[in-house]
Amino acid sequence: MIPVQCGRGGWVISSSTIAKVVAVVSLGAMLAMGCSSKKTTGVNGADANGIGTNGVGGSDSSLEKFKNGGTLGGNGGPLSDIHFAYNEYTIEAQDGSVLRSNASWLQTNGQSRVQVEGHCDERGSEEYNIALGAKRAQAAKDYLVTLGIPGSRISTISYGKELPACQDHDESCWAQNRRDHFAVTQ
Amino acid sequence: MLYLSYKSMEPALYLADLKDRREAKIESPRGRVIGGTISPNGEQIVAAIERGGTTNLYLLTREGAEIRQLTDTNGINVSPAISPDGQTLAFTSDRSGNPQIYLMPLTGGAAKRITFSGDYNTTPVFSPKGDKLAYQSRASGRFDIFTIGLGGGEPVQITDGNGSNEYPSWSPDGRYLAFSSTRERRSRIYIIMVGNRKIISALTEGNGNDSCPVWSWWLGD
Repeated sequence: MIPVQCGRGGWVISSSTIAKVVAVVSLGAMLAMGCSSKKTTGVNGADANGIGTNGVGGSDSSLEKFKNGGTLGGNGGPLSDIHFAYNEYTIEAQDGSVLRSNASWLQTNGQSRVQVEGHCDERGSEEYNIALGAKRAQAAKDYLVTLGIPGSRISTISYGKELPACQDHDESCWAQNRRDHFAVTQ
Repeated sequence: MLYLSYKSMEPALYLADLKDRREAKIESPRGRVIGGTISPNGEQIVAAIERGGTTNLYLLTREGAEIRQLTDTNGINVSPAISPDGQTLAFTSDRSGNPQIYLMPLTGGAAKRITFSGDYNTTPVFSPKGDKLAYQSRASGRFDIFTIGLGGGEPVQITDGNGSNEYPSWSPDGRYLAFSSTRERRSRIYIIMVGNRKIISALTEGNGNDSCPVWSWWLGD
């Protein structure tokens, strides 16, 4: 949850100290200070007002929802999440139908763009999980491209373990957090 | 201080000067910079850069100009640590199929795997003498802190299997490790004596979770 790369030098730092040092806009600091929600269900309205493929993923974006105090996870938007096994980024067979459904929506809504968010559970280092989330997001993008969605309409971002949909420390919660979320950006 | 933040709405690395309070975003045409470490002399950065789901390590100047590519695999290469003499890089890679720790010269060349026990070893940090690494290794869904010599061999388990123990940081004299642990449910910072593996103290308390400790090089006046 901490926005600081572990390394040499500096002080022994607690999350509260980092919040002072690093600035409150840092995501991990915000999580450390203010996030206490427990299990989640689906949220949010459907249509998005994002700022483009390279920007934030509109109101479907997990980061936007977090900033606005919303709960994360679930399939509140027009597209559905998919989930992954521990430390894996291979698309599960049962998620093929989810991705086909998402691709169908994107084909029907031909002007829309989507940002695929890769998320991980809380175990392991921040940096490894950001890289793993990037793999998960890219795997879904590649799958959607094979279904005929132009890659130019799909951007990717990894949130690592920074935006969990569920805050408990058990496998049922971790399984919810190992996900790709699809945020409609336009 | 080098730190990672999403304040630009995506993961990015920032180098902050704590004296004049200026900071610079470390950017690369190679892709998103998602992590890194600064060299002991403060002149270079080893950055983990992600593009198309693949993350590799690059040696950059402190300003972010690329000196050389260090790893080139289609997977994940992260958590760089530089030896105190600035010659050797330790990092985590999934090139074997799961995260393991590797060493390579900072000048480039072949990487040598040094961890073989466990299926998830990460977050290497060099001891002050540069003769061994501390790292975290996963077993039964949680992590423990281990040390291992640079030549490989048998790892030494430092923490005792209580809670999940992560983010080791050496004391300047190499006698202690600070780390975070969930042994009391919330993540707290603890100090352990490496020689006898006894917990000296829990450093933090209160609400919230504490992780990622880094020991000061300076012991103060």
